[in-house]
Amino acid sequence: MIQAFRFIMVLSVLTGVLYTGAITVIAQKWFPFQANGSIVYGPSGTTSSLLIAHAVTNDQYFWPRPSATTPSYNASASGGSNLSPTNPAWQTLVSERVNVISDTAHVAEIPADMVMASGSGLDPHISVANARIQLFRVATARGVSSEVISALVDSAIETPPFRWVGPQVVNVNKLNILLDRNVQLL
Amino acid sequence: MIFSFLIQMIVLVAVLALVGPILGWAIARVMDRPLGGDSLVSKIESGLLRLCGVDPTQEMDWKRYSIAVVQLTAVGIVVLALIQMVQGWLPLNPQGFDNVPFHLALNTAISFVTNTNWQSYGGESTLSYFTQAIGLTPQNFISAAAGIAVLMAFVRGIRSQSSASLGNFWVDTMRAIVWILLPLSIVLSIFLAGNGVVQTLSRGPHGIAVGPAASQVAIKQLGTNGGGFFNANSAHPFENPNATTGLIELAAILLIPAALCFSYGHWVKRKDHGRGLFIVMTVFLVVGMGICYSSERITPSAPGQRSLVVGGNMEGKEMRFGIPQSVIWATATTAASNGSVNAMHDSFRPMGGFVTMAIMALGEVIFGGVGSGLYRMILFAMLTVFVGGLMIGKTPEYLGKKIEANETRWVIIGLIMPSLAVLGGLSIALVIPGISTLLTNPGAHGLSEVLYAVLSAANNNGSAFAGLNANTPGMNTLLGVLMLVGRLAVMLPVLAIAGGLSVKSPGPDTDSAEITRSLLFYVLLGSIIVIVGALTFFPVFVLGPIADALRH
Repeated sequence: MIQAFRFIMVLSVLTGVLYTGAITVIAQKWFPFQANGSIVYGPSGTTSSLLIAHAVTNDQYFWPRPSATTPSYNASASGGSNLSPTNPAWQTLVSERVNVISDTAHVAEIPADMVMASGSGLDPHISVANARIQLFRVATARGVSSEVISALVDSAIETPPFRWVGPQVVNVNKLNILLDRNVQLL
Repeated sequence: MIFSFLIQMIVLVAVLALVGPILGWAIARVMDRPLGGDSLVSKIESGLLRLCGVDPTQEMDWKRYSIAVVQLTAVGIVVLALIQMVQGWLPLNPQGFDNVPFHLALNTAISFVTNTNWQSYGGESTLSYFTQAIGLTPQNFISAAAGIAVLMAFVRGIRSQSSASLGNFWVDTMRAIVWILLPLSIVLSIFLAGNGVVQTLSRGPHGIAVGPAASQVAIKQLGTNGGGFFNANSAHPFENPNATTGLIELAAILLIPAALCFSYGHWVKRKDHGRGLFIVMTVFLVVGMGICYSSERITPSAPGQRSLVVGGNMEGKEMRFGIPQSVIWATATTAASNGSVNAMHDSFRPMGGFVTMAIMALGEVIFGGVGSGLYRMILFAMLTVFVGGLMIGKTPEYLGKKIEANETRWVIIGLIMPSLAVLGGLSIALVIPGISTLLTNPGAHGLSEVLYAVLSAANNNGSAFAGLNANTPGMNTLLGVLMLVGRLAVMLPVLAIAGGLSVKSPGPDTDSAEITRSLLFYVLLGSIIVIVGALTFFPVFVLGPIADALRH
């Protein structure tokens, strides 16, 4: 037993203190921005992370995917809905979201990421199709032509280094920052 | 989408088939090298062993080796539980979290010491940085290394020329950490931190949880641990920020379990056997991925919706991974006994969820945990040898050693105990008063939530149908017991078999009784895995995921 205890203590120092400490020092020195959470400071003194979705309800901005955390977009308690698509509660929730969109935007197809909650509840990305549906709302709310916003969306599309690694996505946080830089708020 | 799925799957298998043999060769070399030496790592190794007070020349027979395993497990659980229960008074707790209650602390301690990494707690909302970095991270390393050590002991049992020694548990475990797990983790964690995984000891601004995650995420993938720094695990943008980190982490999940197949080939001087086991595992993995993909590519619809929804089942999945990487990950993580998730399995369609459960029910032998997956696969191989021996009417031999009554008995115990724990545990869980109030989903899917939990615990996987609220004294205790059974009731029989084999002298050097050289052997092995799994679990799968799928 004493042998086991000594073994654990030595390894706690090696792989707990020294390893974690060394990686922290290296990460803070080489990648301070990423290691601290990709934090950006908005013009009005707001602090947010590029990688963490936060609640947006203003029509002049793009909205992230639905979040199932309590409350929504809770950056200190991540998680998904864990609802099964076979669960009537899920079906009610999703059909309501679908119908809100189909009543306001006239589109033939709605991308699934727009009406289904993400795994973390903090997903900062939306699909390109999702952004293209939202851009009409944003353009109307900001009083500019949809072409202007559409060009911004196109410039915000992120493609993985190899096309097969993952889908093309738009980071909502980055797009909204881009939007504020280029188009005035009304 | 199918293009992305196929290419990612092919790339993943290709990486395992190309890098696996190289890493496997390296692991075989370092685990077998004599102690001492002039290199820096050898000096660190010797120095650490001296600090631990280990006498490296001391040889252990199977009983002493087992006692060491049990002692490390027991002391690990006590230490880790205590750290959590006093974390409120310890440093590195910027969020000011309270001490963890006893039943949760015990469950978490067992979970990490047994390489399960089931999470009844919510990472960023329960545990301090001290608990995560200095409590959990070391157990991520130790539990994985202990798996490699037990595998090594088994190999010595096969190789030994009638001597009872299986090596030294402390030396084997230390070696696996210093030479294999730690160097790979350092490289991976720096890569991850550069790509957006957080690594800081300060508190995040405005309620954005951060912490020393990169260092822990690296070993949680490499060591088939799977316990997330954050509650959403690898779906959290701070643990897995983009599709590229996703693919690299995915490879890290399977890398060491795959490489160990090739190491095994080197160790027992039967490279074809190591390769054969790798191929059997890969076939199961690819089939699982295919079924899971065909389930999740379909967009579930809700009655009453007035527009068509397209893009697959995105509930609980992250946009940056999309459907292809989410299903590949789900299959890999349940196959490799890792249990980290990049999507919420509870929200998969019934057949997709069924794949993740079925692949655990096969006994975590499709790659499985670091070390533990392979030694469980070897139990199946020995069972196959036994069955094959009955068919041809000869005394079965495995790699030159006769498989007799003693070995067969332990093989059966090692294979049956986790299944017994699953079905027994399920029966107990279902009669816990108020169990249905812990569920998120009704009907057959609710049963699946409980079934998933016991499968995951008793096979040391750690992933969950997270709709089940398992953080209650009853469930924490039950799942804790299952995790211990799933770990020790396999490890100890494996060591007993190693002990039995070690004292036998190898048979005459003829191939007559050795059936492991034929292709037919691997077909039989695959069939036995399926038959044992299906016979044990088919009835309960019918009531859970299959009923769920048929109703919708």
